[in-house]
Amino acid sequence: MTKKITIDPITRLEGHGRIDILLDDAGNVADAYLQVVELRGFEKFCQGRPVEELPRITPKICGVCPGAHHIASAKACDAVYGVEPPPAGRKLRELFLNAHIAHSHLLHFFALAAPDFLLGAEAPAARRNLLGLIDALGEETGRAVLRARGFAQKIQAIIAGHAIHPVAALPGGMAKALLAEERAAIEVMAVELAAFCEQALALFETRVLGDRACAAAIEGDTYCHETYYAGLVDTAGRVNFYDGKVRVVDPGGAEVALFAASDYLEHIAERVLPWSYLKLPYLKKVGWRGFTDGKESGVYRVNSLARLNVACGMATPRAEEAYQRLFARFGQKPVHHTLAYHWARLIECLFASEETLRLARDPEITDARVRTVPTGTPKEGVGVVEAARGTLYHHYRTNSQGMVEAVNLIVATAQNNAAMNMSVKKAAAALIHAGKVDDQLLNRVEMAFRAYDPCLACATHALPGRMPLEVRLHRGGELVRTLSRDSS
Amino acid sequence: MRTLVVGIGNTILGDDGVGVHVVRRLRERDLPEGVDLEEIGIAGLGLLDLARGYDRLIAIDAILTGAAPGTIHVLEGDDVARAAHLGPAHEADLPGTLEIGRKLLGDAMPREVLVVAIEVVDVTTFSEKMSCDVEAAIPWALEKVEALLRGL
Repeated sequence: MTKKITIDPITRLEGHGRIDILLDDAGNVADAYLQVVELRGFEKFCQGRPVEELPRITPKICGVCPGAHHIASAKACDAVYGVEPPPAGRKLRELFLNAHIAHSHLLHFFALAAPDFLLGAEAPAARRNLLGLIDALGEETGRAVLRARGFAQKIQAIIAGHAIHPVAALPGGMAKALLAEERAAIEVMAVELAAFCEQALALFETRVLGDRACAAAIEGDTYCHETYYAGLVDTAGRVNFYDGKVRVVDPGGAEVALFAASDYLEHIAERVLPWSYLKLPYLKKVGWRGFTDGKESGVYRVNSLARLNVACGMATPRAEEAYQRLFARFGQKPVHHTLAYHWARLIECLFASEETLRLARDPEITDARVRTVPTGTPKEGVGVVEAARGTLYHHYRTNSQGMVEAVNLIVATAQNNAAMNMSVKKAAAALIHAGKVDDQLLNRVEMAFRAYDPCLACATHALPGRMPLEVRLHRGGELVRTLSRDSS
Repeated sequence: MRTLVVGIGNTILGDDGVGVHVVRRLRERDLPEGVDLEEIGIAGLGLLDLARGYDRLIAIDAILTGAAPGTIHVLEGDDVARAAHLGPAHEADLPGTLEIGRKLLGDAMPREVLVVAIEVVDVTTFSEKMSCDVEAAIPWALEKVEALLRGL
């Protein structure tokens, strides 16, 4: 007879999600699943529309990563029409995407990750959030977070018309050039943003890594899986969010693939499971061996740590130093410790802010020529970028009039889906014994997948007026006990 | 008195976008002096960027409580705080966002916050059409918001 624990919905995450933990007779973990509600009908929604509408529609899929969808979509449109943006058009997209990632990474750290580390998993659930963090770190820090995130949003809005509903990227480039005074305003904000990102990383390195319990969790075995990793790298093998080839390394760090976006179907296959709406991408040439890690299993991971693991370094000086510190501390590469995603995220945040500043100072960024107007016959194309959460593929096929016939998106969270399930199960098995479960323990289980910064049913926001997190214990199909996260 | 009316939602996810649709209809109306209209996708910290400097904030949002579709709820004070998931959990939900605003922005935060929430049905299917009950509630939501703006 198994006992079922349900965490529903997952706290502090975009979208809806639920964790089911099944206990055996002895009260130990028999299995665990992560389930999500997926949004339906996106391909049908897109069919029959002009393909150039997709860079404006796809950002609405996700409430937290609109910028990444905007750029991936524009790149897919470039490929559909066979055009390349002129240098300034490309650089404006890069500037926008880097500001977007800096914003997303900063928010994830302060709103979702830092409460677990700086307040401790023992803090009451109601305080493990941004408000509790502001109480702990002081209102000045809170104001600095708001200011930095505001700058990152403003930079995107200047370039793309709106941070949340960007409209500037089009097939072949951008709709408008950057004015000299806009560039100057961006530079001022980027200087402060970069300084704040450096402080955030320093906070992590001193307060989190300097704390014995946090360091033990990050470096221990409870949150660790030896998997493959994938991410975009530039021609020198360094992390790049906007462009390059997808590099895949095995659990030992050896390169097993380096491919262009248009070849993704040769390398990535998708598995459908009866109990999950979210498909499970895996490495086609390695094959699916179930929810297991190691070299024989095609499970791979994306997002911050994965990008650092597949790269040879960072293209900016301060991020490169931080990158070296991370791998020196673990003494291995790739690093397989899931909670190190948080560290890697802050290193990337610094990188994104340094890139934002570098591009803001690029003399070419204000060039008036920002678009190559497409003249060819549209057909089919793939666009890829690194979203904050990992590699994002947009694949479109149109008729000769440019009307959409088929759309395939592979989003970051889907690629981490198998690993998140494994991580939840491993953490639950390590932490839950003899049926003893409490709020703090369940939060430690949640930390296993919070590290992936998953975006579940992204953009929907209407939720029940009151839906506290409940943990339900089932025995023999009967509800025997309910734990509420609020009352604990 | 300066009032910001902000519609929250996603117009390509069916009923989720009802708050935004209400604001778009308000744009066609003759509104009292000092009323500005805005739209936003999610009720995260970006709402603070919009709301700072106003005396009053009226947020129009979709809600799922189990009431009949199209039911209009007006929440104020503690009711807003109890609507614990009125918004995304990625950064902060609506009550959390408002509390952060009060804590960090002080006087720049609106003193008065009202939420006009419309009971919805489907927020997970991509569509630009709303459910008929939700669509039918829009004129009533408009009437409610206009009454609030005129202090009725």
